[in-house]
Amino acid sequence: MKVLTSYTKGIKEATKWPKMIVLLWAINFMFASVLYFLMSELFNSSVAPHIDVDQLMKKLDFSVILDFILNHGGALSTIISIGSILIIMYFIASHLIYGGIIHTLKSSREPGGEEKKSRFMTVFWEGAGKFFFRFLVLSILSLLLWIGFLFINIILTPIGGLLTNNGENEQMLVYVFIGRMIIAVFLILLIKMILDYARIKTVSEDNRNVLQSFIQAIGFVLSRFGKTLALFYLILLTGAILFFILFFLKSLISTTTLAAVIGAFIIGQFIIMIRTWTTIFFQSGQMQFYSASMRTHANKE
Amino acid sequence: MVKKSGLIILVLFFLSSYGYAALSKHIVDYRIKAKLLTEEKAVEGQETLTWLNDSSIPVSELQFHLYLNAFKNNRSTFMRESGGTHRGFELDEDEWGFIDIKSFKIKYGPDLTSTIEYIQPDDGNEEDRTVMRIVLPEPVPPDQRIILDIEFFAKLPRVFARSGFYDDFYMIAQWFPKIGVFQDGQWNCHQYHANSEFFADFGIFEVEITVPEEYIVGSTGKRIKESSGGDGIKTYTYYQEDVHDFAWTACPDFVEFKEKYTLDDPRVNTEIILLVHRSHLNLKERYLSSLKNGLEFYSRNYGAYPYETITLVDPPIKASGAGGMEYPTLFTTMGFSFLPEGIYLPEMVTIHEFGHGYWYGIVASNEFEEPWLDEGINSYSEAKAMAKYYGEEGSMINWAGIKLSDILLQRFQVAAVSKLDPILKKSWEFYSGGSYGVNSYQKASITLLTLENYLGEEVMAEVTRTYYDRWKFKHPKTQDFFDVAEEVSGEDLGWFFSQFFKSPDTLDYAVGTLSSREIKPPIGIFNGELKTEENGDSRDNKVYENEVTIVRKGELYFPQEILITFEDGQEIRETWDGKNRWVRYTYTKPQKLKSVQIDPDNRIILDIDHLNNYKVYKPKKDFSIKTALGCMFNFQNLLSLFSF
Repeated sequence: MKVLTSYTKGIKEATKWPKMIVLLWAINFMFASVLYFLMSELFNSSVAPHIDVDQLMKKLDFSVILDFILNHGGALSTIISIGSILIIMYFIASHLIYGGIIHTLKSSREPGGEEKKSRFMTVFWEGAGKFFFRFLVLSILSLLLWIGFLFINIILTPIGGLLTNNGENEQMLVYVFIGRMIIAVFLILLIKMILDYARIKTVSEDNRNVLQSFIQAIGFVLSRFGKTLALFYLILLTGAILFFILFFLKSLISTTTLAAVIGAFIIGQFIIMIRTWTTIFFQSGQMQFYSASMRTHANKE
Repeated sequence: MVKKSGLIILVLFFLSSYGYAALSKHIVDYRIKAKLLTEEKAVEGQETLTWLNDSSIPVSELQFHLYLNAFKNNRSTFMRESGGTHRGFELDEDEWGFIDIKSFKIKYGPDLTSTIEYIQPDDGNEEDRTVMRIVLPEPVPPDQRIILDIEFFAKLPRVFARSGFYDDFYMIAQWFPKIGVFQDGQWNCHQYHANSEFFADFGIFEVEITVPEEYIVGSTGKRIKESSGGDGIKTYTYYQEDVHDFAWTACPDFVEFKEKYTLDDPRVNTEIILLVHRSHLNLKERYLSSLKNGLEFYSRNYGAYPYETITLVDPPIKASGAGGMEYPTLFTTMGFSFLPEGIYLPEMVTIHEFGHGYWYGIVASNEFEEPWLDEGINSYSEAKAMAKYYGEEGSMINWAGIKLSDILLQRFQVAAVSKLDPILKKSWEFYSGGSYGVNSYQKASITLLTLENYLGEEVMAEVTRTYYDRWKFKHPKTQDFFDVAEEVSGEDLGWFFSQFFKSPDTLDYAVGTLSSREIKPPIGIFNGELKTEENGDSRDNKVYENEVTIVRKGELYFPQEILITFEDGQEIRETWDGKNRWVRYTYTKPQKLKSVQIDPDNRIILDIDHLNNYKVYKPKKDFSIKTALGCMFNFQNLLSLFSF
């Protein structure tokens, strides 16, 4: 029951913050637009003068792609390097984003929350700055969980070997590969969930001892394993359904003209907004669950 | 009745042995008894070899290949060159391979075992034991035979390079003492190199193979006898004439399928034998249909498949190092049970390796010295066969909306590999394994495709057919192919062959500059008179000076056709011999240029950059925007993963 309540309250709360959705989308857009300018510049100089655009808009020609990679691979790899740097920068910036989201959600629940809502930007960036280093330390602590992840994978390797008769049974090789992928995704999501609760705990209690928050988050998740998992996957499923509906709509557009390309791109931006909404939803839903669980715990005591 | 049939057999044997009814001249006649020792992972063999001195001079020594000694230690030439890897598969240092000669005798003559000497004709590496020499007590006179009795023990390596075992799978190739080729007054008997394949004389092979009875056996040639030893072993006898090698395989996990294959024009009647590993049974139909495609394509385009059997061997995944290899009337293919239908890897490997039955098996060029003659011509044939049976556009991959052709992938590999070697080079002298592979296979293939586009499909078909017909069951050299091409086409193709086969340079033409300048009426001082726009000549319609330059960026040249298109759709085709570094064309017209295209019919596949063959006067940015926005959206999704 607590799971469903947290889920529904989480949806309401996440939807209450359009400004936050737009802000998160804008940050994402800003980072990604660097890539757009680099790519369009490269294509304009290297490909555009040498192709029959009208033909290519209708049908992809792989020989153009291969010639482009062969003859402009150097420039492309520079862009890929820049993209990698952008990803690292965005990952670091995501610590600000989480701080902002959770702090904003927490503040809105406190007395005078409505007033704080009108000062959204101030509250968001206040939280972003306040918890940035704590969240960064949490990410470093999460390396312990990643070591566990690697350890499980190491254990799974000989088991896979046994099941596939050392790789000889090809059908089993495929099933084992799929199985290992499922386990890997499950573990990655589990680590993400633990980190979510560690961050929520850090902000809720304004705890400077992040190691304590981290350990308590692990305890919290493990002690309510079924419920935390159920809530997490409900949120994930909701986000995924919305994502795929919009993605399906986007794929219906035949991008053979510039207008259609721009139309598809705009729908694409709604998809990114859905993803930012889901990010907020993860925090709001799990915060609801965390608060409700803490209240129950306190009542019992 | 019995006496009569016995007489017929005797006559047939006589005829075949002495080359009268044969397709090839029988220089060698091997009779081998081989016993597979599954505990030792080895083969015990007794070989009786009859060798004919086909030359005009007496031969006082014999040279033999002992290929398995390439896997004897890490100091052999093969291991030094390869570093213990072959096509991505690695040597297992716990399972070396070697061949020991237990005894070497002239029949009814002296034992020469103690006189065996190892030689290293290619690199002088004294630790290489892949070629042995025997000095004979008396020379073999011209047109005379010598009969030798050889006993040997062949320990197989764990397979990573063609030959060896994995668990109970055995691919037994290059496994017996094989005599070299006495050619042009000397022995042609090269060491086993990382990047070399093989060369041998035609003849007769009769091999008795003894294996544990649960093993399924496949082999070069036709099974003529099988008998059970009663003690858990079975002996199969195989016989084949007009081949120059003999390989076999054994594995209890093979599932054997047999099917008759016939073709009316040309007349083909053969038995397809598939030995499919039980883990790949879902690939059986794919193997079968692609082998039938290969039989049809090669028979129709080059000549009827002449043998009574063709055996396809499908190794298990862990023995993939044995896959993708050709032997006479038998080849190994490659496939994985999880491969989607639209990824034509098993089909391509099957057609390619079957095709070697022609280009290596029948037209037996020297793979050591001129690898392009079999690999290049066969890759060219494979690309054409794949396009015919699996579609021009998606002949290699036609899956999940991706269509890639065999030819496109070949061209991509050629353009990607640096220009350090020409096609014509000894296999072990290439800069690297990659350079050997790309030059011998892909570059030779697309060079032939370019030649085909230059000469015309029909002329090229006649070239390959004539080359096959003239050189089947013989040992042609590169010049023989060139001679046939010139003879059939009636053209002097020296410029083509000397550039594209002998030079490592590249072919690349590009559209240089395009300009359309309006021609203004004359203004200024003319004959002491000032002409201005007001008092000068007036022109109602604008006229443009359109200028196009084409540049030769690569070192090699090729005659070019250039298509110039104007704004109103008018087209002009120019031809240029392509020899200078650049050419300029100028047109005075009331229209501006629209685009310029070199090689508008895409004939010159060898051009390493097709993108610069086309240029528009006013580029549109639509595609750049589309692609860049697509990249941006994907990148946005990727970024979202880090904060979802």
